[in-house]
Amino acid sequence: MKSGWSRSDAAMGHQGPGHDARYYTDEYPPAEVEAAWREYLRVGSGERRWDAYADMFHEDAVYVEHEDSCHEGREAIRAWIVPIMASLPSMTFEVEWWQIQGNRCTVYVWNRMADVEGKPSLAFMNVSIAYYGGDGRFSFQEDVINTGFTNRAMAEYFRLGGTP
Amino acid sequence: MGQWSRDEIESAFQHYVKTAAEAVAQGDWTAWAGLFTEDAVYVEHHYGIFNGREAISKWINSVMSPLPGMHFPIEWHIIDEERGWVVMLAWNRMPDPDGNGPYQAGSWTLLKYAGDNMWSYEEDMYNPAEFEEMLKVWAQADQAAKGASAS
Repeated sequence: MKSGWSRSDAAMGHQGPGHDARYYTDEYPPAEVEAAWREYLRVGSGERRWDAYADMFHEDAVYVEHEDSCHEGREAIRAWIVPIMASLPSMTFEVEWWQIQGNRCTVYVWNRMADVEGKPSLAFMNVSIAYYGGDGRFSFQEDVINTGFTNRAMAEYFRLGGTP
Repeated sequence: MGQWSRDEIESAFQHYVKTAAEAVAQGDWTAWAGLFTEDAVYVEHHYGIFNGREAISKWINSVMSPLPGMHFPIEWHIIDEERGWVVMLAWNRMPDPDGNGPYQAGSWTLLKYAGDNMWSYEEDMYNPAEFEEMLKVWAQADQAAKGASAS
C-alpha cells in the first residue's frame, strides 16, 4: 500500500473490488464451482444458516464489506456475520440473478425487511462477488452496496414501525 | 443461446469502453450517451434513475464536467450471452498528481445490450462514502503538487 487514500483500501490492505491478479482463476471445473456456489446461496440467502455459511469459506478467506468492515479468516467472518444476522431476524434475501465466470461468482440480492402492515415493502439491493478457492469453499468475497441508499431504506423502515 | 453472440456483445462492450475514453479525452459525453437507445433506463444508485437517452446525456455531462481527467479502467467484465448482459467492475480513477496513486474507487455496473452497438439499460452501484474520501485525498495531493510546481 502506497497511501491510505481510500477507506476500502485502508481497511483491506489490498487493491479492492474483485482484485483479479490475486483471486481469479479458471483452473476449477465449472460444475465444481457451480455446485459450491449453489450451496453457498442455499445456506446463506436461502436458509439464513450463517454458521453453515461461514463454513463455506476457507480458513484464510477474506471478506470485504464496504460499509463497516473487512474480516480476515473464516472464524472472523463467522464472528461477524452470525451476530449481525441474529440482530436482523426480519430481513430476508431474494436472489434476483447470479452469474459465474471461472471461479468468480456474482449475485444480485434484494435485502428485504418484513412487511409493516399497510405500508409499502422496504428493501435494498447489494451485489456480492465471491471467488471460489477449491474444496467446495470460497477464498474471497466483496460486497458492493450503496450505503446511503441502504441507510435511508432502513431509517424509513424503522420510522414506519418496522422491527429489526 | 441468447439473442446475440458473445462476440457481438464483447465487440459492442469494447466500443462502449473506447467511447467512454474518448469522452474523457474530449470532455464531452454526448457521443457516449448516444450508445443508449432512445428509451434506455439508467439506474444510478446514488444520483437516481434517468429515463431516456436525452436525460442520460444531460446528467452524465453535468456530473463529469467538474471531474476532468477521471477515467474508467475496467478491472474485469463478464459477458452473459444468454441474457445479453455485461457485468463489470470499473475503477473510477483520477490523474495521479504525485506518483502516490492510483487515486481510484471501484464501481459495479450492469449493462443490457440492445443490438447495433446500443444499450437499453445501465445500472451502477458503489459506496459514495469511499468516492468522497478518495476525491478528498486526491484534491489534497493535487493541490500540493500544483503548489510544489508553482514555487
